Amino acid sequence: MTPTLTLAGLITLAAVGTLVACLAMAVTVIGVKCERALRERAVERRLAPLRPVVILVAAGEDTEDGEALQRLVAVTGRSRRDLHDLVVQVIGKVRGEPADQLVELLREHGLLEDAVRRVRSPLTSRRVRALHLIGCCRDLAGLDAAIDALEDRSRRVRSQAVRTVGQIGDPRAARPLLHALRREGVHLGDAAEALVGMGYGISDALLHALADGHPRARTVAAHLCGLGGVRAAAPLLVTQLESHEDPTVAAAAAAALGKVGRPQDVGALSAAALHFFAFPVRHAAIEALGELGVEAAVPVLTGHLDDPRSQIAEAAARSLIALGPRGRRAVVEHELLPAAGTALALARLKGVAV
Amino acid sequence: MQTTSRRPRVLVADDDGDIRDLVAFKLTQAGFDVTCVGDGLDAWDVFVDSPPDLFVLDVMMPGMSGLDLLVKVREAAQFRIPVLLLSGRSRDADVDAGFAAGADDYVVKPFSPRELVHRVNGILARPTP
Repeated sequence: MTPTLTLAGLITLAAVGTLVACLAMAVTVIGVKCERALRERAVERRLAPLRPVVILVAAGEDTEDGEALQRLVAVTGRSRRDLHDLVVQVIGKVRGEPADQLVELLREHGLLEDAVRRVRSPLTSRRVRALHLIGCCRDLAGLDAAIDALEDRSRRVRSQAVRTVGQIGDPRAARPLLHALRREGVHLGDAAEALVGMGYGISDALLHALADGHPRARTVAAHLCGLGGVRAAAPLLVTQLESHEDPTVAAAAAAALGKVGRPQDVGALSAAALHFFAFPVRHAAIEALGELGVEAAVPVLTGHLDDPRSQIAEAAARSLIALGPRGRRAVVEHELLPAAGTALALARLKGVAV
Repeated sequence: MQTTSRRPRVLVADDDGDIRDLVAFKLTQAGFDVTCVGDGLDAWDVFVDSPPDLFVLDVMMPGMSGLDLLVKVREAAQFRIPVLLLSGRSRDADVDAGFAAGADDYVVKPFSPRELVHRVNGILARPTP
């Protein structure tokens, strides 16, 4: 006789199955957590005698013959791997001689050589970790590998490579970095920060990107030319502003012209402030006219005091006040316009003679 | 007759254990009496209990940020306790905000422990306003 399953039996079976599955899951979660806690405790135990030594080296209190460093170099076995994690963690928090000593420790243990090799690993996470280590150690020997990684197939790796070349701070990476901006996955802010980290040797790369780069690279290059005072960029910035090919690039070029422009650039900026151009470009151009400090801009800016867009009118009033006595006179003459009145009130509060 | 000079007491507040250990070790070596806490609320409690001679504060901390704590200390203290901000935020606007809140100095991470000691000594050597 074959047993028949009733509906009640089926429900009971399903309930028991679910209960067993839940129990199994709970046991697995508890097991994993216990295993992790035990592992962490074991790491802590192994690191307990080493941590004060690492802190001593990081604080720059090692003896002249590097006694503490030698003690760390001599670490072997499982403790060595834990030590590496601790050192990498600490290395990014200090600079100067203590950081150099910790880098030396990792170099002695062959970790940096290994990291350069691992940048070519098929595993994305391994490539990211290797680049992170090279960046933390500011290891010049890893520069070429980091530059290659700027063109990696993975967005995560490219993004980490940008930070790494910035941490290394060698201007040779500037051109490849700007070139890499044509691909998605690299934040423009990260790229700009990395380029700033390379110092003043990047002017040629910035000019090259401005003349011939992808719009994203041109935006960053224009911004940094203004920030870094690259006066040679002025003609290229005018070209970018006048081409109106990309409003973001044009706005960045206008803002940069305010900082590194020449008196004759007032014309290009005045034209960019006209009402039929994109708002960010107009706004940046009007602010740049004030920053440039050329009185020839007074009539143009005065014409924008009654602009229908209040931010444009307010920017024009602020720029006029920044232009000196002639500009301030123009604002006073139009005091009844809301933007002019507000700018005058603010200027008086700041103690500007108007 | 023997004269004893009290070691200046520094309160270090940082949620990063490595930074706390590092700063405490360096300042202790330099002759300071150091108390460490992991967040702004604990730092406030220590301050209320026994005000230090100088604060070394991280800006971003759980509970109460270093800037909030700084403002609160400035409002509460009858005398000016020097504050050095030790922060990973390096932009000009962040540094400006720190000084605007009343900080006496601002050190950006990653930092040089030796420079930190010089700055602490420099602040404590200033005449009290």
